[in-house]
Amino acid sequence: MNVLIVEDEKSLVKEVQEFLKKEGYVCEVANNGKEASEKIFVNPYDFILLDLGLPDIDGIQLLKEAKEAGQEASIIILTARGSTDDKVKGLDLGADDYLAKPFSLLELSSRMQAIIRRKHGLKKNVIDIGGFQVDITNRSVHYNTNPVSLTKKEFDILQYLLINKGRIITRMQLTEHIWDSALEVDYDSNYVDVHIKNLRKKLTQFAPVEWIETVRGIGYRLNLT
Amino acid sequence: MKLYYKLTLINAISRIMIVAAFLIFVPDLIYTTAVQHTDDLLAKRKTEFIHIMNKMGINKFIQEESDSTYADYTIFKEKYVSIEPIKTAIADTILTGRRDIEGDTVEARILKHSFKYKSTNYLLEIGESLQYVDDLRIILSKVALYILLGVILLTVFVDLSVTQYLLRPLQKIEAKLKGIKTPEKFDYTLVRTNTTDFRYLDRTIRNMMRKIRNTFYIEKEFIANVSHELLTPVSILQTRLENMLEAGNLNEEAETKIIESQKTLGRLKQIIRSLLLISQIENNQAPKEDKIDIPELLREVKSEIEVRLVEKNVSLEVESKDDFIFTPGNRSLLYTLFFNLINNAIKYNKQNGSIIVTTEKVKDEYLVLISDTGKGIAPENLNSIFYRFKKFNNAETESYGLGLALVKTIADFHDMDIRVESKLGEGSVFTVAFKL
Repeated sequence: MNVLIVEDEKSLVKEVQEFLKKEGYVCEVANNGKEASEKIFVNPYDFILLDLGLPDIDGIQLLKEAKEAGQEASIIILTARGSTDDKVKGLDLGADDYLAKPFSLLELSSRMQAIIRRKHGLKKNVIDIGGFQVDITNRSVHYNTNPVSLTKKEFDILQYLLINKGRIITRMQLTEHIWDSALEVDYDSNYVDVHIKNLRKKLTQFAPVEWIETVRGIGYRLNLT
Repeated sequence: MKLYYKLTLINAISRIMIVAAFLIFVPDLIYTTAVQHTDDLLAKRKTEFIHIMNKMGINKFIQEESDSTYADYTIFKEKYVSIEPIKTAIADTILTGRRDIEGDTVEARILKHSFKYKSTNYLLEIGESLQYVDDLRIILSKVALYILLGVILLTVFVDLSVTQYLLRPLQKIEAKLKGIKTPEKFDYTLVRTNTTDFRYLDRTIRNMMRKIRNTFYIEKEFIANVSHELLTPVSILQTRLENMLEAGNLNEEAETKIIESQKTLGRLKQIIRSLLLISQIENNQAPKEDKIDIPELLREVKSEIEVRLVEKNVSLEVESKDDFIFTPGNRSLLYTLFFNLINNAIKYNKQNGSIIVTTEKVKDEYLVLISDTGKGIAPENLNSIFYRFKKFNNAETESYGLGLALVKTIADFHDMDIRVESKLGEGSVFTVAFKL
């Protein structure tokens, strides 16, 4: 998959690039609007990560140009502006998602995966784990044919662990993911643990869930085996 | 009391006092003047009488009467003259006295004069009735009373309208100040007046408002810019730390330190985001278009926050009997407001404590009351809990001191009121008041 990172902050580009490469993406970089405009016009991409606050061209303008040029890439807006106005405008103009800076790389990657699933018509979006069928599209979990009733947050946690399976997810990353916009979130508290505890309890009624591993002092990991 | 009424009242009182003084003193003055005049008249008559008597001789008067006494009255007994012999001479006196004149008692001003005629002492009395003076006094008093009452009414009426006219600029200035919460909403056009005091007042207020507005603006701009500029380096740090963890080649100690750093960074992020949000709301950059079912919103907050009750085993009840739809508002901001208030109620609660959220309609307000059994807030801190970065009793809880500042900003944005009552050691009640 080809990704164009449009971002003027070079240190940030470096980190995003490093992460995405490991995830198997091929990255190109544009450090300003002009450069980005040329690349968008010439090359086809799967993803464009677009910073709105570029030094020369307004990111929104660039988004318009890309759509007019018939660019088929999925566009994720990255911005520090944080005004809901920009968000609405961006999504109206055809951006696929919106991430406010500072964002977590894991959050970015899971958003990209969600877009891939959506775009590539994986209609039957069911992942099998430990005998459970997790339906990402319908947000439901079944064990054989028995439905497992989870709260919104419990499902969000399960899904996030699933998308990032095999990787340690810190409490903070989980907290940020499920309390997307809530302020004054206390990272040291054990709210996430309570959710995980409830999730485990609900799933264990059907089958053991030793695949949800607690990594001491850090967070959680979903083991593939 | 308004200046307008005060001025009118003072004018009215001063007039009434003048009139009262007039009514008290003028009749007496008239009386005194009349008496004085009468006295002069009497003295003149005496001179005339003596002159006539010297010319014609006393017998002309005395012989006509018996007992050597002479008296002469006008038909209405207003004036009289009498002569009678006395033993010893007296000095001239004028006095007010009663005299029986042919059966009638008449009050009169009397001049007594004694003279010697052919070795006999005579007493001459010349009198003038005071009846007309009395009558005059009564009539004058009545007329004066009516005229003055009329004058008072008229002048009070004139005063009212003139004062109102003069004070109109002041009322306009007052109206401009009423109901504005931020200097942005102030009407900066000057009130038209040629009263220099008002002009000075108006200009001063306008200039001060401008200063406040500019200060506000600079502060808001500053916060927005700083926060925004801080977000980029924080982004870089966050992604870098994540990459370091991802690499998986660190020893346990380094890993722990990175996770600790992530937490610290997370805290920094929250502060910046809260500040940005506050400044956005203050700059009216948040939309306000939602219809919000408040009881439903409270239940939603409850279900979201329930997981936080476990740690301290706190109970949370939401009892909302009255339906209330608030519009137009910003649902996610109001959600944040109630989330923060209830979250605080949990954070500062004691083990096994309780929180009760109730709603009620009182007069023209819809109230949401959040009562907790927490530590309470000291009276001296009650006024400043909504200030940014003010923190109290948070030794054991993590807090950035922005939660309540945000709550206040959201409340102001929606023209809502927030009230706090608290007793140290017993708990606090936060009341959110929506205008109906």
